[in-house]
Amino acid sequence: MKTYARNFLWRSWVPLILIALWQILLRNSTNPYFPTPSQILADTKYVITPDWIMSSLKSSALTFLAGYTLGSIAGILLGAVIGASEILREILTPITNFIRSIPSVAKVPVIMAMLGIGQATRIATVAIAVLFPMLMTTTRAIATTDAKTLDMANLLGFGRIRTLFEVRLPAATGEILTGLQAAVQIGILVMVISEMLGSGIGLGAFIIHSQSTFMIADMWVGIFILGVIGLLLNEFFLFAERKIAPWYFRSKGLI
Amino acid sequence: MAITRGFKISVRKVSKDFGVNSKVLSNISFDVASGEIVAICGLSGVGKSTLLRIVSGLIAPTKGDVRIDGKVITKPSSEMGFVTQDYSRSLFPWLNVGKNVALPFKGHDISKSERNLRVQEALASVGLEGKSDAYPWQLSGGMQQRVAIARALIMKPRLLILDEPFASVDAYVRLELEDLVADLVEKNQVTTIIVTHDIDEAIYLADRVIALSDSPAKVTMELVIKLQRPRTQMITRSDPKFLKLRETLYKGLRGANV
Amino acid sequence: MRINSRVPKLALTFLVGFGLWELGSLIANVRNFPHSWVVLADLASLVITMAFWESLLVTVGLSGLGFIIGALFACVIGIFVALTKSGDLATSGVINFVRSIPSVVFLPLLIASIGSSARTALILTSFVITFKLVTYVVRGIGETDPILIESSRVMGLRGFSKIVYLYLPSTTSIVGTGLRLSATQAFGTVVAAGIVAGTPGLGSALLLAESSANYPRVFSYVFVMGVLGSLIYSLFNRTENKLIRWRVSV
Repeated sequence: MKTYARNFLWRSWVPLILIALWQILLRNSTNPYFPTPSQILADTKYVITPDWIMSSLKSSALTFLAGYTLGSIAGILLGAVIGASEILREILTPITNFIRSIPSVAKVPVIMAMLGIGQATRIATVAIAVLFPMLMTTTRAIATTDAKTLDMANLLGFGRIRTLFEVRLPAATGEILTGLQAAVQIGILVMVISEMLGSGIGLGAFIIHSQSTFMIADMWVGIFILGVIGLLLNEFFLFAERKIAPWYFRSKGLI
Repeated sequence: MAITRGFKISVRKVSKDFGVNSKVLSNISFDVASGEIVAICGLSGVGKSTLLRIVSGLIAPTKGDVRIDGKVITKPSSEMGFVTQDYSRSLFPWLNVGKNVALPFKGHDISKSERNLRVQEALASVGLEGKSDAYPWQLSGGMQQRVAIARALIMKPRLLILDEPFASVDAYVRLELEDLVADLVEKNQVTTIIVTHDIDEAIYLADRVIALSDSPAKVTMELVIKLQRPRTQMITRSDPKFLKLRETLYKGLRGANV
Repeated sequence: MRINSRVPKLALTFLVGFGLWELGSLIANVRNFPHSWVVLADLASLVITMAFWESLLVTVGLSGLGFIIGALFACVIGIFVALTKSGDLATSGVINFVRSIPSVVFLPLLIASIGSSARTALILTSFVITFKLVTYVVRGIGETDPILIESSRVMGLRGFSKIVYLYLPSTTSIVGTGLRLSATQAFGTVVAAGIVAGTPGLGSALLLAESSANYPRVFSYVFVMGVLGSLIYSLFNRTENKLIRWRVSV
């Protein structure tokens, strides 16, 4: 725990210096678009009111968490089934590849057109955006399960379904975790976009709204909060990887 | 040789090819008596592992068949234990040692306490008592291979197959493991087939050595090893008979090339 | 069940794809999710217009340019950071922080200060790509085999040739993956700028179609983007494979 904290502080000196630089260089500038960090900090207490937290933050949190969870579970399960079946893989891979190649941004208007505006739509959008990458990661991980490990399962008398759930999936844990980590960024992106394009609730909407009403400091507060959330989630993953699949991350030299 | 509980294996005219131009095995025939230890020896790449996969029921031969106690096998038998060279890929890394060793119990109706007892016994028999909570990645290569051996023997199989089991461990550990296997095989009275490219190891462990060479692979020699048991690394390996067998086997492996 | 030749498999893929699409039409309503043949007809009429190819070229051009600029900056910064060893550990915090922020949130800022032009999209894209690639460059250099480094020191390799003969080949495998992901992201960012802020290109064309409720057109554009995305992916995949033939891909 101590080394972790020390590492974290050690990793933060550059951001701190950058922020200090920002403060010093723009101290006397009147550029309305780049307020100094001290101004942003001062503004924070006006933004983060209980009201705001209850409405904007809660809405975004719900959108992201629900969408991400649904999307990743669906993606992993479907990916597992497809990955274990050569024929399904061959038929479906071109289709999933194609859909995955469509920029997530573009999927948002399409889904909104189909399902309308509202929190359910935003959740669905995040879920779909997360589903496809997770499906592909899982398919790949399951399909490339080590042949020797599969042999052993065969020798131990495991049937197809047992092999899938008790051998292939656990063996794929490391890769799936890595995929989940990448999917967080996609989820955040799509959440923000769907809020920007849709109704007026949530962090993304707040950022756009602040900009259009010229409350620039507010906008920056929103941006920073997004960054902090992303950072926290990332740290969470580093921690989880170590705990859940140490054998995989050690072999990759990431621990 | 007395009849033991081990299987009697009969390999009859087994050939295997993977497609048109890739004939790996040609007309392989040999028998393994109940309780006998047979080593299949040959240079790397000759096809030993393929033969082993056929004998264990993982793949089917193109021609010929393999019979266990008279019956043709079509899939892996549940009374067979298997140890491969790559312990890191055959032990499940997400399970600890205890759970890995207990894997063969799945699907069998055994009480939890009985299961634990047998796992502890198995671990003790390979010198790893108390290690059941460790994970494979925390153990050395030699120890991981011991776990694999414990797992292979826990259900008291009647056939034990080892595929180059000591090729990935260092030299001294290899000698220890050889003795461990010899000891366990004797205690368990299990028919054993061991594949190795190491001539010394083959002669040291086996009752009979089958030399495989040429391409496609054929049986070029069957050598009976009349060395006294129990065998020890120091004494047996310096026995003049050992050296003579070694020479004979070496020539047998060169096959048609000598 | 095994199907052994290619044509039936491809046919099945199309069949399944068609089936899934029609399922979509069924579930949503046909006005918002047109039948596949309606979209195909619209697509056909779209690709013969000049305007279409203009926006396509703008999008591709901006993506490419943003990618190259971002890559150059990433190399410079990355090499600097990697060779001054302490930098690596320290910068990863910043980079992770910035990477977590979806580029789109800067769009309102950029629009307000410099408008919704192609330049806006370019600046944003370059910025995003720089941050994305820097990690890869740093990692790539960092994972150069120390034995190779020693050998090259013994052989007297210095300065520029050191970079070219030692570090560049070593980094290609890791950076190769990074380049592929970045190319995809560059494309995505340019399109995002178009959809959210109306900067020129396919994104804003899609936005236009959507705001006039021309759904067949919306889907046509989505389809085109899928095709472009796939092309970018396979182009980089092929290049990556050629470049790293002596190494296993990361």
